[in-house]
Amino acid sequence: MSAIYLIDHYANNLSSYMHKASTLSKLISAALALGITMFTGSALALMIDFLLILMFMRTAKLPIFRMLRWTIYPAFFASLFALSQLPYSFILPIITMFKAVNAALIMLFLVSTTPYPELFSVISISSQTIGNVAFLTYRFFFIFIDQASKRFTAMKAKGGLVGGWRKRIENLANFLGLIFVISFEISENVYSAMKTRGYSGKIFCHRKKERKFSKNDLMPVAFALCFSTLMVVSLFIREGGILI
Amino acid sequence: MSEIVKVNCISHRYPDATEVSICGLSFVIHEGERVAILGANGSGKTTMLLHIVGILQPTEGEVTVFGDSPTKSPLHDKVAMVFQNVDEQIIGPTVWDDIAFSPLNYGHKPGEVKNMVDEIIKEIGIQHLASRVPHYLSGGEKKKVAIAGAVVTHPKLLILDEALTGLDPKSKVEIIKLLNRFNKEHNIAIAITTHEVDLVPRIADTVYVISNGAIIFRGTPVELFQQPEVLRKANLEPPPLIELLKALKDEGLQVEVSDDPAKAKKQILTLCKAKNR
Repeated sequence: MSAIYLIDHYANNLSSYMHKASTLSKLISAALALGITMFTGSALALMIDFLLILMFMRTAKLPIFRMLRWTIYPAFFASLFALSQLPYSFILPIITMFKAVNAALIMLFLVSTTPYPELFSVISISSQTIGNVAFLTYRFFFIFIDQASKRFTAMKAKGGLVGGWRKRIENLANFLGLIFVISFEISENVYSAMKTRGYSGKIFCHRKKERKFSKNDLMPVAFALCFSTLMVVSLFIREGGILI
Repeated sequence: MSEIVKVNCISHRYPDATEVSICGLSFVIHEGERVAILGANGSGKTTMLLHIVGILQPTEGEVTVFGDSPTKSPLHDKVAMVFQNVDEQIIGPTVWDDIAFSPLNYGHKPGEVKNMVDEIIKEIGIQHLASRVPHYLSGGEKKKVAIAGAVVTHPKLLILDEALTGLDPKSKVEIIKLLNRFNKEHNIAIAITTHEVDLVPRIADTVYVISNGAIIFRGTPVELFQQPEVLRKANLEPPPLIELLKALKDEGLQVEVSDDPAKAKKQILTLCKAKNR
């Protein structure tokens, strides 16, 4: 099953304090965690940040190992950069790796505990256009991934990945061209369907149950306090010139 | 019954220069009528439906829906459509959210939307799916969700493009029952495209057959089955039961061509008994 479907499933069907908490409190906690990840230069602070995020995920009943597996992609690309830093420092590559993994985990936490219309409705408060664009892009990817994986399976079934490297690359290039064309077709069809359902340039993100501030928000608020403290401490560490 | 849709010899030119024309007999849907549009793949069935909902504008000809051109005057919630690929139609993250999409867009208040959605979910019997992510549903369940999302605003006309294609027999029967119930209880006119000829009597009062860009037949399912050559002309196969009865009739036997298996059985048994005597 594709990661994107599982994420949607976790967001909509899991039940935890984090899932029941309001979107705003989760967004604030995530923003603070992201703030530390982006601005701190301390490996120790990043490690604590990492552990806090894992605790965050644990309380949300999210499968930590699967989440970590999904961070392999950013970790892989970060490792290329980290390797180039290795001749200069041992700490810098660790910081680079933590930054990539932590940022990915925070975003995974956010989308796995909050159904996307709720996230986008909060975004829509600041900008309706950005909210709509985010909503449509997300929905489009759902359909697009489905269609692309079907076409990829068909290509494989027809021996598209059997020939020599040159032939495989040629087939993959054709496949990419095909899905590029398909993406236009899908977006046209989705737009037509939305138009017949009353879409006129504005997405309404109404939910059956509006999540308001409640006792469920204590957990993200507690984490937000932890992240704030960590941020202040990490700034202090940085001021002291200590990296670890 | 008043006319709610009228299509008069339309043609449409797609951006890739493909031209689709639908001429011949004029196409009409009356209030509360169940209409089936039969035709082979690529005959122009979907093109005609897209003109009716106002997504396509005819390059030639005229389409009138509720007395107006659907592209000039918005149909709002009077016409709803279920597309061939329901995956491209289901927009919400959960079934409930998706069904709420149209009422919210048409400006209903949140409290009202909740009642409308809960009511339709109950009516269709998909309460157990309400909080599910649509992607994980079966084909039949997705169709039901798409239908719920279309009828939630109580349209006067429901258009379905190949709604029965790709479903297992049980799901087909469920969808047919559901559509017939909506037609009967809410007086919703239904227009459905299909190439499954044997299902036509169960879903339609009036049948249109499209072949090579022309509407070549308009009549009841019984009238259609008495002229199997019309179906063959449209690259469609008449149901085997109809073929058998027609063959018996052509042999000079006293049988009535009917799509009803019970009636056919009775007729054949009578013939057998008469021969044994």
